[in-house]
Amino acid sequence: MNVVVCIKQVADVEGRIVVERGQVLIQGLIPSYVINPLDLLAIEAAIRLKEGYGEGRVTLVSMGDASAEEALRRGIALGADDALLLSDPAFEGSDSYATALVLARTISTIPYHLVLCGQRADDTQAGQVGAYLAEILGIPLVQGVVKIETTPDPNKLRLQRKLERGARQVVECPLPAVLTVGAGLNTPRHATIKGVLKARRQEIPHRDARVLGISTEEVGVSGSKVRISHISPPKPKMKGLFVPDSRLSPVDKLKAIMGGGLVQKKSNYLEGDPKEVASQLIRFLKQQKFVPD
Amino acid sequence: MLIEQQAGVLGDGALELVSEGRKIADKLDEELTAITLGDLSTEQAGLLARYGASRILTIDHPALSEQSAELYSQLLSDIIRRHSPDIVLAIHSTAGADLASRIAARLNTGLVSGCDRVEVSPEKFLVAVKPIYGGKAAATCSFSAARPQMATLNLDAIDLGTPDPNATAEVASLKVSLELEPPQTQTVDFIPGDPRSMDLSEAEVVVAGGRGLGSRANFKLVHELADVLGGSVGATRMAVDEEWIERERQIGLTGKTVRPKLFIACGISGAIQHTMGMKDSKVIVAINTDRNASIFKIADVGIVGDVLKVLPELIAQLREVMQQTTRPSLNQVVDAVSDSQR
Repeated sequence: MNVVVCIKQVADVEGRIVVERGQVLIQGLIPSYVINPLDLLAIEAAIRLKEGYGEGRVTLVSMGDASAEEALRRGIALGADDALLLSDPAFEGSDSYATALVLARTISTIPYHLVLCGQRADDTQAGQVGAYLAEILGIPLVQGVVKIETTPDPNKLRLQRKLERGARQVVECPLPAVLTVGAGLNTPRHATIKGVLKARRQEIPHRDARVLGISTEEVGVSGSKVRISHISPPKPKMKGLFVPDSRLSPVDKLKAIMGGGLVQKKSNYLEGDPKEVASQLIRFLKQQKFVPD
Repeated sequence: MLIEQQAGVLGDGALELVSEGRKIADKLDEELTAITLGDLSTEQAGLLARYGASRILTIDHPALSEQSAELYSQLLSDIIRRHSPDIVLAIHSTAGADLASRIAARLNTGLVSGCDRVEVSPEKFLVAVKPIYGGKAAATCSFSAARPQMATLNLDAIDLGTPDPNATAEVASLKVSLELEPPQTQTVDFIPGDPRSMDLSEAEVVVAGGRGLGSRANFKLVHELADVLGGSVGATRMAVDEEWIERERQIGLTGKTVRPKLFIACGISGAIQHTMGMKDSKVIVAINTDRNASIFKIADVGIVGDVLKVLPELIAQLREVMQQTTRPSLNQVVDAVSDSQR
């Protein structure tokens, strides 16, 4: 089974990220960039599928500047066979659609049975590349996949997608297809030393717009359907911020502060006879529609 | 606006979405059409009208019985194409996000997903504001010339508007006989979520217990309350360390982060190690003996009392309430399904 995995190098959103003068700044002594966490699950799934079938190649593709090569090397260290970096100044400012276009043009040149990508990137939180990609490639799409099983038919996969309230939809999907994978699909493996050494040696070809046969108007800001016109700090959500408990470890204290602190609410106290208190609470739960009236 | 519904009942956030849509339509001096797949009762349609829909379009098509995102998106894309609206809005639910992204791709247009806010620019274009980088920044997005301009809105970021009791809407039922491409994927099964085993991060109702329960035996009360409410059980680190419950149920800095619609904290004092994992729950109810416990500072309702006395009473009364209603709780549905499979 040949699997193409679309990955994106993103800033670690757990890290220090601030907005200054309309720009997102990734701070810290060593600004932390990672493979988008859901893309990591996609890489793992691809490697497992290849191992399961006992044949095929896992190809990673990523659109980004030269620094994204790092993410591709990490993916190879995990067990991917090949990697392509799609890099061109013309790609800058691309939205989900333009990105999908670049990916689709690339994927069409690779023999594939399956395309995997993370359901959404941590930075833009858009989650749309998969849908545009499937549309451009003209193949089926299943989103939010949390379980992948092979079937006796080599051209069909059995998938579970995450619905609300813990429910799952079981879908049979013919190949080729685009799957976007959701949290909980698998636990990604760690790189082996052998893998890291291979990744260091491996050549990662770069593809630019010209090689891919893409005109500059089709991509970047001019080819995009959506443009970010302005970036601002998030609206503060809390009303009152507690000073974190002094007994906390420095790490926990930081987590507490960066997590946005706590919102102090004006709570309604109920006191007295348990029977009376219980029925008052039930009245409240009915009001809030947690309990049928 | 794409309105979700199930068996004629409006989906979560339908009225909030209509309220948002109304604001946009007013600024543009345009009509606001609510589109739903399947029929709506007069009562439900009336609600949409009072919150701002000027037209309600219910779609009827044989494919609706098939629960297929491929078919639904074809159908909706076709209707949107025919009505060529400037703006299409939907709720950023699992189904809403999936459908919107498929429709945007099909219509070759732009979509901003997971927005907290939508506005109209002075030039009368849609402007969508959404959280990025895990909410550490907000992006204001605008659209290219492609139409419609699409956005999905986060349910917890939008509010109900003021209903106009006299508002009415033109309700049209559209029987579509469009020939659809057969879906390539097939739904072969649907597995309902079992609150007792589902991952805490997916739970809508969480009942959590802490030190106040006192013993493993008493912790059963937490399970019982969760069962009546169709909720999942959570715990503080202390309860987990005492082995009253498995570690995967731990909520807090070293455990899971949950944000259910309802969180009931039983015998939990509210140490920050725990509250950081549940503070974003929509409604928080706390039961604790200590009036000064910090859990009360983040609770919507605080019950000052002995959790061992309040819980049995609450469970008994809730059981009574639940029995009177015909609607089975989620846990009962799961039981029934697994019984029938046995």
